[in-house]
Amino acid sequence: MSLWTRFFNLFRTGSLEREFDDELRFHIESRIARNIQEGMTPEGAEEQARRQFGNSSRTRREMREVRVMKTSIGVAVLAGLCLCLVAGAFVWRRGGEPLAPSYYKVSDEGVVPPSVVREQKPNYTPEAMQAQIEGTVLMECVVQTTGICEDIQVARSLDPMWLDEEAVKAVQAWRFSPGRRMGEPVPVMVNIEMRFTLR
Amino acid sequence: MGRASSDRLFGTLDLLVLRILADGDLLHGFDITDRITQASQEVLKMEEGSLYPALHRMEEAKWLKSRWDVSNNNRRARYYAITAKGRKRLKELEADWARHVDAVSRVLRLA
Repeated sequence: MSLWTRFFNLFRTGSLEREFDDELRFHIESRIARNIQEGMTPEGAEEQARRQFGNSSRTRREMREVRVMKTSIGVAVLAGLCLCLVAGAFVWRRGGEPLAPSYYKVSDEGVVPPSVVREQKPNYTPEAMQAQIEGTVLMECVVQTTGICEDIQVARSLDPMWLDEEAVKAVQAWRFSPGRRMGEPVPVMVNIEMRFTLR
Repeated sequence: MGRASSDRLFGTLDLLVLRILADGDLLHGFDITDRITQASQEVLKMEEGSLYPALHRMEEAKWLKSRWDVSNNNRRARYYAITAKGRKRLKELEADWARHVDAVSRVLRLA
């Protein structure tokens, strides 16, 4: 893959993710079909296929790292350099005040935590519904001053195959009123618990 | 080497994948895991998910190339094939492996 393609991948992570999904789904469904052919019940076949596959969130993350991260790191270094330049100018103007951290914690002094403005419910995938998976996904992310959650990490997984991804997708669509410190919007790290229940 | 090293592949995933593709077939990931398991008479089993980052990494290294095609059961699947660079890499890895086995055998004979 050329450098240009990888750079381009930065802007098409959506379709890359779909490609990963298609490729991994093909594998798992082929394994389920094979298991059924060998005499397993559909439930047993699916469970065995998942177990044999292992942690699919991790697989996806590693694929993403191969396809996109190298260029991201390049861009991040570039962005870092620009930021240093801006920060340098700032420090010079303000007479050398310490730099602000990249994000605050809710527990930090004087921080007003962000609040949710628009929530989006996660999708229950048919597979998870069929397997009757219920429970909570715990995520950690930084609510930026734009009101968008970035760097969403699953801190406690419920279902690495389907629901963790759905929880992350839902939080990506959430909008926040950003956290504040001394009246100014600042990035704040938050924990989000998302509950999946079947009626 | 990622998760492959914690599986029962002894860090040989690249070698096995390249060797299987060296016959010239166009294979998707599911076929590749199947052939590794079958050819090794089920001794070499892996956490199947660990194959995919490896395939993408090897494609990135230009040892493999891939394309989307329609599978036997009429589904869209991503197929992989070995490249000339991949064959060269396979030769190196085979030589490394032979040296490794030889070295371990020597130690075993000594003990």
